[in-house]
Amino acid sequence: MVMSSRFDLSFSDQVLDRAREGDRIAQAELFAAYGRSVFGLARRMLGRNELAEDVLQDTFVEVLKGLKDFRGEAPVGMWIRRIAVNKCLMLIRSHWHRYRLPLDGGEEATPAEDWLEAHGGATEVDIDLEKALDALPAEARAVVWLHDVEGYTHVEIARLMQATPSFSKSQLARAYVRMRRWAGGSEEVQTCMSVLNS
Amino acid sequence: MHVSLEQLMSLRDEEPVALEVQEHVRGCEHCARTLNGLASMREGLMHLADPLPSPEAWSRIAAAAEERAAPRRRWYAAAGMALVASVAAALVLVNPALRTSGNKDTATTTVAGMAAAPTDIGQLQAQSRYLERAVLDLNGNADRMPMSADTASTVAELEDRIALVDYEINSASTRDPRNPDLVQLWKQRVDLLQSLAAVRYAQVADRGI
Repeated sequence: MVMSSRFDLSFSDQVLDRAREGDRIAQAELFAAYGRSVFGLARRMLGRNELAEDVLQDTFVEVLKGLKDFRGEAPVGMWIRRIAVNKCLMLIRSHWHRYRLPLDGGEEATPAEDWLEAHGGATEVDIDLEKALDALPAEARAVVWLHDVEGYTHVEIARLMQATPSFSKSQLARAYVRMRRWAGGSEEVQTCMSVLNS
Repeated sequence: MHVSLEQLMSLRDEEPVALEVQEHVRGCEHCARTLNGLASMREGLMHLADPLPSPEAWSRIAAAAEERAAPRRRWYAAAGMALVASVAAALVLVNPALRTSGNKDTATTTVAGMAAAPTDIGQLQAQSRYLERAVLDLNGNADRMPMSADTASTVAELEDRIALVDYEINSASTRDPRNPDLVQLWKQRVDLLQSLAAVRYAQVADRGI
């Protein structure tokens, strides 16, 4: 399955060189190109705006610091994504941040108007999926986003999360069942096996 | 033969799947419908719009990058005993029970216990939990106050280092729960939490809370 990531867009080499030399305008252009994608990735993986803002800041501070060593062997967007994903996973694994992450689903209730504002007028379907994703435990949410949207394979996810590919697969399957319930699907996600066993 | 959800997902994702699974799904209306449902949910996820970061995000990043580039103050080298004293004061501050005269002995014992640097992993974990609670209580007050760029950078650095140590603890204990490195890692965690408590306490104390 070939998927295109939001990070997989081209960026001018000249602007990148200027950014590497410390030109703030060029650096701002780099942020303009990938900042929203980093924030989106972190928001989806962590389920909270304030944590996503932290990851956005930490990622770009590291990117700006590391630009001089970036050799351009991979597209710059994919390099930025790798830094952002590592930061998100570090937060998810951290004992310290477990106090702040909805590891077992659930988040403080958001007033409806805040919700609409925060999601920029997304459609009803989008909002249901947003809610469903946010309600997942942190690790499951990370697996869903990395696999289904960013196109990571189960083997890659297993390596990143220090787990097995089977762990990644079962997290994904269970997450889909939960999301389906949250999204208000009229039918349960069932295979004929589960029908026969019920 | 029946198929599992994992197998259906592999089929959806064009991963290698046994021939009999593919044949089964072709002939089973229920599984075929589920497969379509899984595909549309993935489509829905892929088309979720990226939320927008706050408009001040870039200016904060540029300021933080500049701060990092500037020579760092070696605040921790000079902290020494003052840090220990601040932590002791912070612990008393966040635990009202320790402030009452009747509990003076308890306070002294607790703080002395903290300074004794235990080498037992259980003690270190208990100490770590205690400090974490103290820091969380202090954070409640400190987060409502304006913070200098220096303090913000110090807090962020300490939190980053705690996250890193947590990562190492997780990795080491996954490999071997009796890994001897764990004691050293838990010690580092306690030291970092003590520093963080001291910084947070100084922030609160400056404002007279």
